[in-house]
Amino acid sequence: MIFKFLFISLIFMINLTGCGGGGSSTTIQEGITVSFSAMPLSTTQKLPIGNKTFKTTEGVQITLKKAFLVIWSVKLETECSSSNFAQWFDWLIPQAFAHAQETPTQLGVPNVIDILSDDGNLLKLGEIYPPPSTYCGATVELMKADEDTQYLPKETPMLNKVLYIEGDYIPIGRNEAIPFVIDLAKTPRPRNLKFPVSLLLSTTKRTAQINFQINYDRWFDGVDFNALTEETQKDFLLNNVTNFLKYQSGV
Amino acid sequence: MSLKSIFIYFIFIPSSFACSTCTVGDPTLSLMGTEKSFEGRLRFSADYLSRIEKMGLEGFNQTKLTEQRLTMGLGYSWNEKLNLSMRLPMVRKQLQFVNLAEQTHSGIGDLDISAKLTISSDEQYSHRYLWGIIGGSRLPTAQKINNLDIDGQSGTGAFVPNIGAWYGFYQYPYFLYASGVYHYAFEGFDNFKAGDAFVSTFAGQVAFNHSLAFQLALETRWSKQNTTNNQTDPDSGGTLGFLSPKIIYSITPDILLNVGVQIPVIKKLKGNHQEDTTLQFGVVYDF
Repeated sequence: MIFKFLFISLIFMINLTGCGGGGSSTTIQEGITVSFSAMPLSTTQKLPIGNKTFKTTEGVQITLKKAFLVIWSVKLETECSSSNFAQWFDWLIPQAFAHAQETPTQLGVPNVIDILSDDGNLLKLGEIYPPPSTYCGATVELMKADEDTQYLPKETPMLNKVLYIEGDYIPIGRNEAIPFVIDLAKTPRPRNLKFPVSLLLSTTKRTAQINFQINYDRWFDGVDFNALTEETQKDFLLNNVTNFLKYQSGV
Repeated sequence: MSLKSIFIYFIFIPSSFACSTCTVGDPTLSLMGTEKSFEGRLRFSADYLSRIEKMGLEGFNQTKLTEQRLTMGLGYSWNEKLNLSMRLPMVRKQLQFVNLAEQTHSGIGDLDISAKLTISSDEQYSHRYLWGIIGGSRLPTAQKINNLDIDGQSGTGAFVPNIGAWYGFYQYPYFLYASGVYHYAFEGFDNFKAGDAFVSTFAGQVAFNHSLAFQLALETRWSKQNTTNNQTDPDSGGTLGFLSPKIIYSITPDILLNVGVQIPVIKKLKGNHQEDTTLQFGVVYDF
């Protein structure tokens, strides 16, 4: 009898795996994907890779020799009418320690942006896979880099930093450059950016590309270089950094 | 097939769940029965199951799994005490993600082999009650499909051994049955490891006549959370209980049909995770 069992088992297995249900089929249909990128971009002229020299609105000449900024997270928004999206002055908020969360609407991978790369050179931040909806804007958070951050520079330790700058400035009416270093770990208020045209993602529109530009040549506008080591000026600078992070384009 | 056969063959329909480790119900019963079996008995079964499972928050990150599963089984009685069985599912799964992505896959699932040993029966009361142990393993026979989510695979690609105990009580026209089985899953596809699970079954059945019976069961599953690359899936694990009414009908002495549903009544799953009512029907044939 056991032989009968074994024989039928064999037939059973062969039929199932070979002839009957053995053939497998798979279809994969891609869903909605939104890609984010960011680039450094001067508001006056396109500067090539390397040291970046420009002037503030006050006429102070700045040369950046190292400059890194951490974009902590990017989140698509469906509600943009709140006061957060008003273009009022961004005050600093206390330091946050939460790890960036990856969700269908939020890119949780932090990225270090090298400001000295080519102007207009898009750096891919990552992709998210949101549900279909109408998205009116995005919230970008700048926070300290952690170990999971992408594009961490080898020569400049960016862990636990939001912004790091090495450079010099030439005061108005003088010729000699004065070096400075800015090393910030403070967390500014999130940057809320409203899209000029809402992004509608649906069954017929499944991919989108959203780019941000970082107008680094406006960071030092209004900054008092004589008091650059004071917290008020550092905060002022960080607010400029936040305000001159802008929506560049969306496709 | 006699009325007694209705009791002893088909106390419950096997109901392996899609995630291959999310088993609810006692899958050994339809093939092995609970009676004191006779040497050389050979039995075939086919069971169809349809279910829907949702993981995550609706409109935010929810993934919906729709599954149909046809499980073919063979059971063999080595002797009066020992029953052996093997069950192989053919699985069709459709995963729908919140971003409108879809994955559909059909294929052979993981082979399940098991043994059921009767340790004791009451000689004094004509084997009115029996009890013993159950053991076996799910084998990684499913083919891994690249670029397919683990929830969309037809199996997990893991060894899942299990061990437990069972008890049956028969007194016409009633039948009672209870079992508890512990499942331990090894790591499978994509470093996915299902959480350990304990599955219990408590059931009663009553016969209306010699060809028709009704059964009602409470089938529960407690499980730890799943992990992938040692990262815990927050929308997995917990306790789930189904109330399972079922109709069993004998159309010929050798063929039994059954149809039933599993209605989730205990929903203490972790995270955002829900299982809907499961539909199932099947047939058993004695060679």
